[in-house]
Amino acid sequence: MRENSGLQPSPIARHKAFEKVWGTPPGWARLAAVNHNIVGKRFMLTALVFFTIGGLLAMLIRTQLASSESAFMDAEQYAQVFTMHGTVMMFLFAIPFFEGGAMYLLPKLLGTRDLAFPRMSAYGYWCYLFGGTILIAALIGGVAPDSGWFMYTPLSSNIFSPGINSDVWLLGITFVEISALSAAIEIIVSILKLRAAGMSLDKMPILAWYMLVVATMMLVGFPPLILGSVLLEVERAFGLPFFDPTRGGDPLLWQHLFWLFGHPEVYIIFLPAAGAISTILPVFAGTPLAGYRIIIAALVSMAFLSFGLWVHHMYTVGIPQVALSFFSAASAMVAVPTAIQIFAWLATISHGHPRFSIPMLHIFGFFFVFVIGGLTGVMLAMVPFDWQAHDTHFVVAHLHYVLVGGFVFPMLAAAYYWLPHISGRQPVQHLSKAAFWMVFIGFNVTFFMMHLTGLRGMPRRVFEYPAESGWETLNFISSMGSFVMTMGFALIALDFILLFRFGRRYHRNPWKAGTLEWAMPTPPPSYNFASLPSVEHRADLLDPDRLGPALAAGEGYLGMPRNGRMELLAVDIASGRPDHVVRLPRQTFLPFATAVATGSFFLALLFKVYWMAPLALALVTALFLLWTGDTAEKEDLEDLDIGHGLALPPHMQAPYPPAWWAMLLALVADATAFISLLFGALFLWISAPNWPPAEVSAVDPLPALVAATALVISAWTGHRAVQVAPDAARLLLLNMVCQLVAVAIFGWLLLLVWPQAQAHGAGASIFVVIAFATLHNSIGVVLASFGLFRISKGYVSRKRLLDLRIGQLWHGYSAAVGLTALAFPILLVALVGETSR
Amino acid sequence: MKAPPLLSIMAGFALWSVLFLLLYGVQAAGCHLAGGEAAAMAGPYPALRWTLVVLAALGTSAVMLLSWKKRTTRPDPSKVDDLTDFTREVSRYVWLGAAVATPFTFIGVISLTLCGT
Repeated sequence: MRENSGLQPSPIARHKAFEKVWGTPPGWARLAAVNHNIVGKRFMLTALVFFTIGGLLAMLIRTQLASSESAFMDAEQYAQVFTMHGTVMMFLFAIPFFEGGAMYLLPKLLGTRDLAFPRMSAYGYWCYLFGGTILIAALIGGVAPDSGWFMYTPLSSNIFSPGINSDVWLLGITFVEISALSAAIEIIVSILKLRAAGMSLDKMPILAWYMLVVATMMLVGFPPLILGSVLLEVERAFGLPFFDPTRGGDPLLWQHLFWLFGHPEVYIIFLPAAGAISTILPVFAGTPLAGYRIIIAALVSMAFLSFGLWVHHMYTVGIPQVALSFFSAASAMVAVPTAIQIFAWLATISHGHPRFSIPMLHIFGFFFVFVIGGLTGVMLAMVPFDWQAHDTHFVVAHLHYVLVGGFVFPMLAAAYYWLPHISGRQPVQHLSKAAFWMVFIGFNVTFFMMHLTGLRGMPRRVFEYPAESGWETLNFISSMGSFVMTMGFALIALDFILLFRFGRRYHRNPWKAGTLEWAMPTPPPSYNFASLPSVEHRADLLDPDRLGPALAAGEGYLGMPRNGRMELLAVDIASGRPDHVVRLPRQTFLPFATAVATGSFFLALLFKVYWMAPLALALVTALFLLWTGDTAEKEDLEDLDIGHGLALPPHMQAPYPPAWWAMLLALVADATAFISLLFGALFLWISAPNWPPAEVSAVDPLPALVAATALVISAWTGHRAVQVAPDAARLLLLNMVCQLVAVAIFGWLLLLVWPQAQAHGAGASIFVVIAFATLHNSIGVVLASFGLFRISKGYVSRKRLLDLRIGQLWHGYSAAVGLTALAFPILLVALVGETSR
Repeated sequence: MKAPPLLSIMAGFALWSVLFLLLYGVQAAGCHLAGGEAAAMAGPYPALRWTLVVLAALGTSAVMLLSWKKRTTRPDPSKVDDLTDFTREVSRYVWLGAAVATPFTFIGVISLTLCGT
C-alpha cells in the first residue's frame, strides 16, 4: 500500500483501499466484526428485540389488571412478569439502545473513523447478548427473577427466594453491566482523545458533551450496583450475611447500593435522549442551539445533583429528618438544570422558523409527557407527599411519564432523524403521523389513569384487587390505552420497515444539518471519512455539503491507508491539537471467544458448579492477554506522516494514548466499587441490628507488616520500572514476588476470617475487603508477568513504554487497595470497641 | 497554575458533593455514637447539632467565596482565547449553581430532628 503522500488517487480508488482494510467480510467473519457501525447497529437492533419482549410483558400486566380479581395469571407468574418487564426495559433496552446509538454516531460526530477500543465494543455487545439471553431463557423456563426489578432484600434473599430466580437476575445483570462499563470507558476516551483536529472542548457538538457527562455518570454509577449484586450473590451462595439482620446485616444496605446506581440511572437514560433533542431541534428550528454553554453547565450540575438524591426512594424506611432534608433539597434542585435545558429548547424554537416534520412531532410528545413527569417528580421529592404516595400506582405513573417522556419519545425523534443516515433513504411518512398519535394518546390514557388509581390507594405490584376497591374502571381504561399504544408501536415498526424498503434515496444531508455525520456517504462506509476533517468552528455549525466532497477527495488528514493499518488521529484533550496517530487492532474473533468464556464463568456460578468458575476465569484472562499482540511493535517507529506537512508519533510512543486513559478510568470505576464496599461496611456498623458482633479480630501485626512492606515495594518497583525501561526485568520480577507475597498473606487471612465471615456482618465485611485486595494483587501479578514477557520479546524500549506505564497505574492502585484492606479490620475493631464501650 | 478545563468546570459541584458526603456521614456516625436507636428519643445533642451547623456554614462560605472569586477574577484579555473564555463562563455558571445549592441543601441542620424520624 502506498504512503499517503504524492499523487492523489481518485475517491473510488481511495474508497476501495479503505474498505479493504476497514471492512468486515460476510459469512462467519461477521462474528469477528469490531467496526463501530456494525456493533452500534447490533446493539440497537438487539435492544429493540428486548423492547418488544418488555412490551409484550407489559401487555400481560395490563391484561391482568384490566378487571378486578382476574384469573389470567397467578401471583407467582405475575411477579415474574412485572419483574422481567422492569428489568428488560431498564437493563436490556434503554441503556444498550443509547449505547448502540452513541457507538454508531459518536465517531461520525467527532470526525473520526471508529471508537477508541473497537474490540471492547464487540466484547461488550456479546456480553450484553449472552447476559440478556440468560434472563429471557429463565423467563421461558419459568424461573425468571420475581422480586421486582430492584430486587429488594430480604425478599430476594435465600430465605424468601430459595430458587434460582434471584441468582438469574444478580448474575445475568452483572454480566450485562460489563458491557455498560466498557461502553462508558470507550465513550469517554473516544470523546476526549479521538476528535477531529482543531475540535477543542468549546467546539464539540452538543451531543458529545451529553455523552461525556452520561458516560462519566455510568462510570461511577454502575459499580455500586455491581458490588451490591456480588454481595447479595455471595450471601445467597456462601452465607455471608450482608443483608441478614439476624446476623449483623441490614436489608437497607441493598437499598442504598441499588439506588446509588438507580437514581443516577434515570438521568443516564434521559440525558442521551436530551442530547438527541439538542442536536435535532436546532436543525428543524433553523437556528443554532440557544444557550450552548449554560446547557453544558446544567449537564454538569445535573450529574452531580443526581448522585445526591438516591435516598428519595427510601423516604419511608426510617431515616432521620435532617438527612431526609438533604436528599429532598437535592431532589427538588435537580429540576433546575432540567428546566434550563427545556427553556433553552423553547428559546431555540422561538428564535427560529420551525419545520414540523415527524421528528419534531415526537419532540412535542416529549415536551408534553416529560414536563408532567418532572412535575410529579417534584411532588414526590417532597417528603410528606411521598409518604402518602409511596409504593402506589402514582409512582408507577410518574416513572413512566419520566422514562417514556424522557427517553422513548426523543428516541423515536432520533430514529426518524438518523434512520436516513443508517439506511440511505428518507421516510415515506404515510404512517408516521398516525403512529405518533396512537402512541401519544395511548400512552397518556394508560398512565394518566395510574395517577388516579395511585391517589386512590392502589399499591403497585399487586396481582389482583377487590371489585369494591373503586379502581376497576380506571384500570380498564388504562388497559385499553395500553393496547392503543401497542398498536401505535406496531405501526412505527411497520413504518421503519417501509422506510428501509420503499424510502426515497437522497444525495446528502437531507435535513440540512450542520454536524459532521452528514459529511459522508450514506449508508456510511466502514471507515466513515476518506480523510479526517479539521474543524475551525463549533462542530454543529458546519457545512457538510461542502466538507463531504472535500474529505472524500482526500483533502483532510490520513487520506490513505498505510501498510494495511487502521489509523486515526488522537488530539490533545483541551485544545484539539493533533497529538499522535492511533493504530487500531484489526477484525478478530477474540471478543466473541472472550465473551463466551466470560459467559461460562457466570453460568458456572449460576448452576453452582464452583470448581469450573476459576478455570473459566483463567481462560478469560488468557484470552484477554491474546488481545495484546495486534498493535505491538518490536522497533521504534519514526513519526508518521498524516498529511498537510505534519508527522506524529504512533500511539505506543505517545505519553498519554487512549489505553492509558482507559486504565485510569477503569481504576476510577474500580475505586468507586471499593469505596462503596467500605461505605457498606461502615453503614452496617452504624445501622444494622445485632451489633456489636460476639467476635471480631484485627489482623496479626507481623504478617500485616510484611504484606504492607511487600505492597509498598510493589508500587515502587512498578513506578521505577518505567524510569529504567527497558532494563526493568529485575524490578518487575521483584514486583511480581512482592505481590505474590501479599496475595499469599491475604489468602491466609481469608482462611482465618472465614468462620467470622459466616457468623456476622462485621466478619463478612472484613472478608470481602481482603478478598477485594487479593483479587487486585493477583491481577498485579499477571500484569507484572506480562511486563516481563513484553520486555523479553523486545516490545519495550525507551520510546515504547505503554505496557509498563499501564502496569505502573495498576501497581500503585492495587498497593493502595491492599494497604487499605490491611488497615480496615483495625478500624472496624476500634469502632466496634468504641460502640461497645 | 491553571486547572485543566474539565476540572475547572466540575470544581463547584465537586465541592458540594464532598460537603454532602461529609455532613451525611457526620450526622449518621454522630447519631450512632450518641446511642443509635435510643438517641432518637433522648435529646437534642447540641454538640452534634453545632458540629453540623459549623460544617454547613464553613462549607457554604467556602463555596460562596470561591464562586464570587470566579465571577470577579478577570484574566489578561490578551491571553483569553475561545477555550479559556468558554471554560470561564461554564465554570462560572456551575459555581453559581453550587453557591445556591449548598445553603439550600444543608439549611435543615439548623432545626430539623437530628436522629429521629
